[in-house]
Amino acid sequence: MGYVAVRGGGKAIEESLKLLERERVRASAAWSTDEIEGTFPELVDQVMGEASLYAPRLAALALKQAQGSPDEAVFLLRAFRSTLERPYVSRPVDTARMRVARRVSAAFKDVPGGQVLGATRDYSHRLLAFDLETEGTEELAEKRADLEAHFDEAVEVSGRDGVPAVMPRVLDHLRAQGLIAQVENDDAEPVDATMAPLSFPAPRSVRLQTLARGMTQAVEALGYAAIRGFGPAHPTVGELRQGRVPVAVDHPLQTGGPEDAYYLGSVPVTEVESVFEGEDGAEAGVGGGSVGGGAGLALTIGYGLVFGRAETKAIAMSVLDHCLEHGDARFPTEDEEFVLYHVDGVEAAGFISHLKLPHYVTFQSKLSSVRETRRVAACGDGLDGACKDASDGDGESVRLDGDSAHLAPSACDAADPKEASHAATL
Amino acid sequence: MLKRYERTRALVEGDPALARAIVCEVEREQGAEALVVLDEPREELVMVQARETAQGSLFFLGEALMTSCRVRVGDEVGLGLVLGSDRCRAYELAVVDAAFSGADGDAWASRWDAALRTELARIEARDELDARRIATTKVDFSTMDVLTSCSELDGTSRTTNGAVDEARIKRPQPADGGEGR
Repeated sequence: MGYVAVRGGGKAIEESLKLLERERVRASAAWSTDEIEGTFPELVDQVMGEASLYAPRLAALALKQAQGSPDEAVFLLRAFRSTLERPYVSRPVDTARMRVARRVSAAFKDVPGGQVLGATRDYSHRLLAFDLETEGTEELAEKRADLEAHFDEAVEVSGRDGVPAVMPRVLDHLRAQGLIAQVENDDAEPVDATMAPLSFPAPRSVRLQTLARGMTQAVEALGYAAIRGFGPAHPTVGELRQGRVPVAVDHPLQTGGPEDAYYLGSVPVTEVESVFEGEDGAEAGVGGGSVGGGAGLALTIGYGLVFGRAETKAIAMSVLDHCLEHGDARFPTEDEEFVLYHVDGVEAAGFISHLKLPHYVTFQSKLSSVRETRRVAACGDGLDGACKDASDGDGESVRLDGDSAHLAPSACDAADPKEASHAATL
Repeated sequence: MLKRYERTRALVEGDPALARAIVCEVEREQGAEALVVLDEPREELVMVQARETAQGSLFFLGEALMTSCRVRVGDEVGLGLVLGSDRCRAYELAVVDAAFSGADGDAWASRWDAALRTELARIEARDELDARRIATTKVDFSTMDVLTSCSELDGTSRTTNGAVDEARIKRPQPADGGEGR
C-alpha cells in the first residue's frame, strides 16, 4: 500500500494562525516580559528547567508567545537553543559554596547553620487571597514599602547574626561518622544527553541530566509512584538547599586554576540529598555514597539538582536517581528506559499531540485489517451470508459492525471534498 | 592584585559604571587604532556542569544563555563572557580582559585594584544584607512550648546558643519505674 500525497489546507492554516493571534491580542494586557518574569517567577523557573536553558527573559517571552502553555514555551526555548553555538562548558558548579536562600533538613532538627526556611509556602494556609483580585499598583507599592521596612527592622534586631556565606552540608555529619561513604571526586567526562540519542544502560551523567530537564509533573509523578510502592524507595530529605551558584569558565587557551577563570554570573538552583536505608551490604553496594559491605544496614544518597526553585521536582529527582541506581527491572520506576524516555516534556507532548494530526493512510490500513479479520472470522464460522456480505464492499462491512459512525473517518480520507461529503451522508 | 575570577565578578555583579570607566580609559590611552573587535558581541550558550554529591561524579545540569565578545588591544586578545544578553557588558569585559592581560596588565591592575576591591566589598555587603534578611526565617526550636515544659519538668539545661540539649531530656518516670511498658 503506497502513500497518497494530499495537498491542501494552506489557507486554513494561515487563517488558523491569525485566529490564534487574534485570541492572544484580544484579551492581552500587553504585559512586558519583565512583568511576566516578576509575576510568575516559578513558572519561568519551571520552563527554564524543562527547556534545560537558563534564560529568564527568553522563558518569559516564550510563555507570552505560548499564551501560558508551559509545554509550548519549553518547545520554543528548546528550538531556540538549537540555533545557538555552545563553545563553552563551565567549571563544575560547587553547590557546597551556594549562597543559600533556603536550607532545610527533614533528618535532623539541629543542623549546623540551622533550619533556614527562606521564602516558602510550606507552612501557609492554602486559602485563596481574594484581596489580590483588586490589588493595584499603588497598593503593591505600599505593601512593598511595608515589607522593606519590616525586614530592615528585623535585620537590625537580629544584628550581624546572618546565614553563613557557606552553609555546611547536613549529611557531612553522617559522612564523618562513616554512616555514608566519603566519595572521591570522579572527574570522568560526563556524557551530554543533548548530543546523542538515549541508549541503555545510560551513563549516570545522562540519567541525571535527563531527570534535571524532565517534565516537572512527570518527574514528580514517577517519584511519587516509586515511593507509593512501584519501587521500594522511601526517602528522608537529608538536605534541601536552594540558592545561587556561580558559573565560571576557564580560559579557552590558557591553563589556570579557578582564580584565573571567567566569572559569568550566577544561576539559581535547588539541590536535594535524600537518604535511603539499605537492607544489607548488597544494597549498599549499588551506587555510591553508601557504606556497608555486608556490615549491616547502610545509608545511600539519592541526588537531585534542578534550575530554579523546583523543590518538589528536585526531591522526586533524588528518589528516581536512587531507583535507577538500584535498577531492579521488576519495578517500572527502576527501569531506565521507562523513566528516562518518558519524563522528557518535548518528547512526550510532541508524540501525544502528533496523534491529532492527519493519519488518514495509517487509519485506512487499520480499518482494512479489522475488516479483513472480521471477514475471515465470519467465513470460518460458516456464516455464509455474513461471508458474502462482508466481501460485498465497504458499506456492507460497516453495516455488519452495526456502527455506522465508522464511516466518518474513512469519509475524511477522500481527497475530493465533494466525494467526502457524499460519503459522510451514506 | 586581583586575579581574573574576582575581577570579572566585580565587573559582572557590580555597578556597570565601573567597567565603563575602565574601558573609557583604555580607549583613550591606547587610541582607537589599537583596539580591534575580533568577534562582535553575540549570544551563545554555556553548558553548566555540576558535581553530584552521591558519587562525586560530573553531569551537565543544563545550558545558560550568555553573550561573548573578543577584542584585541595592542597585541593582547581579550575575552568578555557574561550570562544573559548584555552585548555592551560583553564588549567592556573583553576590553578589560585584554588590557589587564597584556604587557601593561600589572599597571592596569594596580591602577584599578582599589576600585575593584571596593566594588567587591559593595557586592559582599549587598549579599550579607540578603543573608541577614533570610536569617530571620531561621527556626528557633528552643521557643517551642513543649520543649520548655519538658525541660521544666526535669530541669534540662540549655546550651549557650539556646538550643535544648536533647540528650539530657528525660521523660518523667512513673512512680513504679514503668519498666517493660
